[in-house]
Amino acid sequence: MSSSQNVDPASVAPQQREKDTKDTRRGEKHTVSRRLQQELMGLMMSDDKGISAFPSGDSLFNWTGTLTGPLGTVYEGLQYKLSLEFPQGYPYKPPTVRFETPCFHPNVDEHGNICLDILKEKWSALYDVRTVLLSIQSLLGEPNNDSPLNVHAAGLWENQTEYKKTLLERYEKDVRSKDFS
Amino acid sequence: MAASVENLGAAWSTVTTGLLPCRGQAKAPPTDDVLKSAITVLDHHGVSFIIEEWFLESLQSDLRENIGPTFWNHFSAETNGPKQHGADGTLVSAFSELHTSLSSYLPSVDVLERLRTEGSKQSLKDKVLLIFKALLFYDIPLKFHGVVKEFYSCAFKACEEELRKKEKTSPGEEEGPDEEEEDTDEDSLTCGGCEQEKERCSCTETLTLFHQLNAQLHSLGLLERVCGEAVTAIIHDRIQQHIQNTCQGEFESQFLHPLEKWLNSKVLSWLHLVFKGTPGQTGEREVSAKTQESLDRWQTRLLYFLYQTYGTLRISEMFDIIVEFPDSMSALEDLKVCLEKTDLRRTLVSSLRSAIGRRLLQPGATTSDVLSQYILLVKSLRVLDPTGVLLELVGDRIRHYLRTRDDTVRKIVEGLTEEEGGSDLADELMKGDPISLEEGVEEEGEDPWAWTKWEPDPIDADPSKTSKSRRSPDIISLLISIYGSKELFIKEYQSVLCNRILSFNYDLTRELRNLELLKLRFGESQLGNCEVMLKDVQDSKRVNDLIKSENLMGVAVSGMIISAQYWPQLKETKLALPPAVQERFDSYTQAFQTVKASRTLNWLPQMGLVDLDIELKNRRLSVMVNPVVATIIMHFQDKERWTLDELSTAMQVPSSVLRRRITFWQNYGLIRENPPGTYVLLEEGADHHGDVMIDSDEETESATASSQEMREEEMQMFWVYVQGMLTNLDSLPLERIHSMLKMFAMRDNPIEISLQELKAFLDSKVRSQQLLLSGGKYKLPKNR
Repeated sequence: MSSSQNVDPASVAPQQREKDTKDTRRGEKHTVSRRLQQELMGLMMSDDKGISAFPSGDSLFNWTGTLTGPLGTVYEGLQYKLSLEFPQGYPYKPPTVRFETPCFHPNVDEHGNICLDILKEKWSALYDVRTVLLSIQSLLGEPNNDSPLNVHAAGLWENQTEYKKTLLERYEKDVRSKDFS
Repeated sequence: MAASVENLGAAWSTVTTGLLPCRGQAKAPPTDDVLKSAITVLDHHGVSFIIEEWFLESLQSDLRENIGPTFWNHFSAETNGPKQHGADGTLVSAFSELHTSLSSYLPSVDVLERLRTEGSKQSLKDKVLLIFKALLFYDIPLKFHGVVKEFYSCAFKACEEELRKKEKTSPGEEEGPDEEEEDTDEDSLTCGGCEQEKERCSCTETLTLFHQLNAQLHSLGLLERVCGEAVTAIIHDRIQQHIQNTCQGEFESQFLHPLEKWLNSKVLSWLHLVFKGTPGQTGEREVSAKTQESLDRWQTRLLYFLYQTYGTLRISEMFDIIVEFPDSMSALEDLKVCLEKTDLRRTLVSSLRSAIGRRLLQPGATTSDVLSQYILLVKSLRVLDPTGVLLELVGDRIRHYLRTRDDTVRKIVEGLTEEEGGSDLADELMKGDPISLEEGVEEEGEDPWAWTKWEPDPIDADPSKTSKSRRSPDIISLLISIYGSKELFIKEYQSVLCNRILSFNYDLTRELRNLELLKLRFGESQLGNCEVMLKDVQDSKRVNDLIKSENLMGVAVSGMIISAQYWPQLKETKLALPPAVQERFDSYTQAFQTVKASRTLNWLPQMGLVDLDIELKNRRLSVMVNPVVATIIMHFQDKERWTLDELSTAMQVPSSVLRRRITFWQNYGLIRENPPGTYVLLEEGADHHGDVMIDSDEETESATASSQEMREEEMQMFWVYVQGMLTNLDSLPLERIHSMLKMFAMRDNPIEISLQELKAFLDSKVRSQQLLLSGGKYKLPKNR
């Protein structure tokens, strides 16, 4: 899969680039900021339920995201925080997304790393924060049990009642108790 | 030896009797020769030095015991006596007595002076006078000052009167503009000098006494000591009074020059009269260099006082002076001189600030009044202080105040594009050579020698600002800088323009000219939208003409075609037109489609103006109204009775709006509400005068979203961001929220929010429980 959108135009002519690397770097960074700024505005203005994100500090390159489990799934009503880190090459390179809230899920490991194709090899410059968050949200309800990071969860998935029980126990233990201590 | 002692005794007694003034003694004083020989004898015995000491000693005791008390008795004895008007004799007789007593000592002083050895530092006469002053005046009864002042003020008046008489008799002399008393007493019976009947005028006597006293005081060396204070006080009073009389409320001519002339001719001549005596007469005295010097100093002080008094008066009237600008230019120029010569700047600032607060910045003043007063203030203070520091100090208050008024921007924009040419702002806009408002434009071709003309800022300048920033001579930029951004003004202009066009209350050529003028200031790009708007107007006209000329339709519908993207957001309200009218609109649309292929029209039926002719049983009406109002009455054509709800459904207009609109026809006596909620057409009724009338209520209501509504929209946007922030970052303090908004929400937007504004906004959200505030941090409530 080699989608042409994924090619950073700045990397097309390396010889040219060397001349004024600094300038283009700055310019690059500027265009990335611009794009992120626009994404932020779009996200703010959109009315998506259950997903949200905002820069966590002074930098536009580190965001904190919040999503709630989709309705009708075992994750319904649970809230998760994520961190999004945008590389300089964004949107030609995917952001690094990680669960900050411990998440019991077949495709999420104990460090919060997510196994999602669009964040890896299937990334396209057409994706943005909003679509990434929506994909992760739907991943919660529809795990890919073929390549699990959390084998225990993957094995448990078939039995939804048992799964829900474990999930809530974990959530209670890892999140709520810490939240209110 | 005994003989020598005897000799010495005799000589001593000769000297003592000879030197002391013989009061009441029949014995003639020894002649000079006798005295001299006696002194020689004393000298011979080496005791001559005692003489001087002895003499001074006896003089002092005489002063203490006799002369002093007698002198002061004059003033205490008369305490209860009737207050005699004019210059009473007390002072004069007291001093003449004093003069006599003292002068009896003077011959002896002369004799002793001759005896003194050379090289003595101080002349004996000076010493005597010094002792005299010291002993006499170490304790002065309070009344004394009063008497002196009374005497001198009488003398002053008399003197003035005499001077005036002299002037009157010599008509060749030019009469100054300050002769304010000139016309007052031509026929009056009292004399202006002593306020007595003319026959009994005592002026001449007073003057004689006056000169006499002055001469005596002078010879005693007491002139300045005794009368200085009184004379200064009198002159100060006189100056104040004169300035009050001549200048108060008169701003249209310059007074400083006449005042100075007046001071020199009238007041100083009197001062000279006191100190030098009448010129050319026997009373004239030689003036010592010292007196001359003190006179000169006096003159400078009086001049200063004159400036100060005049300046203070003008400062107290400053608000009115500003109101009358530019007619009050002369007063301003006078004040400018005064400010340079005195230190009244601070007084000016504080007094003007408080006057402005008291008289201008209050709810009773309309925004346009405040604005025009501010403009006048700017212009006037520029005259006073070209560096602009005064303006900065005073104008600040108005600027802050204007910021709190909602309609400031609109008023400024309206002022700029006023219908009549009378507005100050429109004039200002017309002025050639406008300074572009582009930020950071450096003056080009600046004079390389400009630094040689550099002058430091006045001391009250705010050092944190450059002097250049103050000097900006342009009133419009000043006004615009009240808000700090020109976008606001451009938006407002756009909306004002839009309102004018949509209420069909405009003059195209004028609007075009305005636009060109504004372009010069705000730059082409900023006003692109407005240009399109005006072009739309022109195009619409062409299209209308075309449609009419080709006779494509036979009804009187004229469209105003708006390129929606370039116009301000128009309020979208629904209105269902009566079918008959709608038909015509449709046919216009068709006609348009034939003229401009592949385009069509979206009507905004609620905008526009309807020319209505109404025929009723006993009357006819011709009105220009808003479409909603027109539609209402058209519905009554088919049916005489409508309930509010029915009408609301038929027109698709909310009943609240409808109710308000119907009042228009109620006012005309065409529709009556009976019973409440039901409206009935009155076919017959009292004839209403007035044929064409534009609904005035309509005019005030603007078609565009007002700036306040726009602001609310902006706040809504901030709210979305704040929610996003708090959803993800849990809780944040105010400053953090503000800086985040600044970084992420305001970067590309021209809109801004201040910390205070944000706080107020967030606090209102806290009150409506959309936010929680705990420990100085805001957070979203759980379970939303």
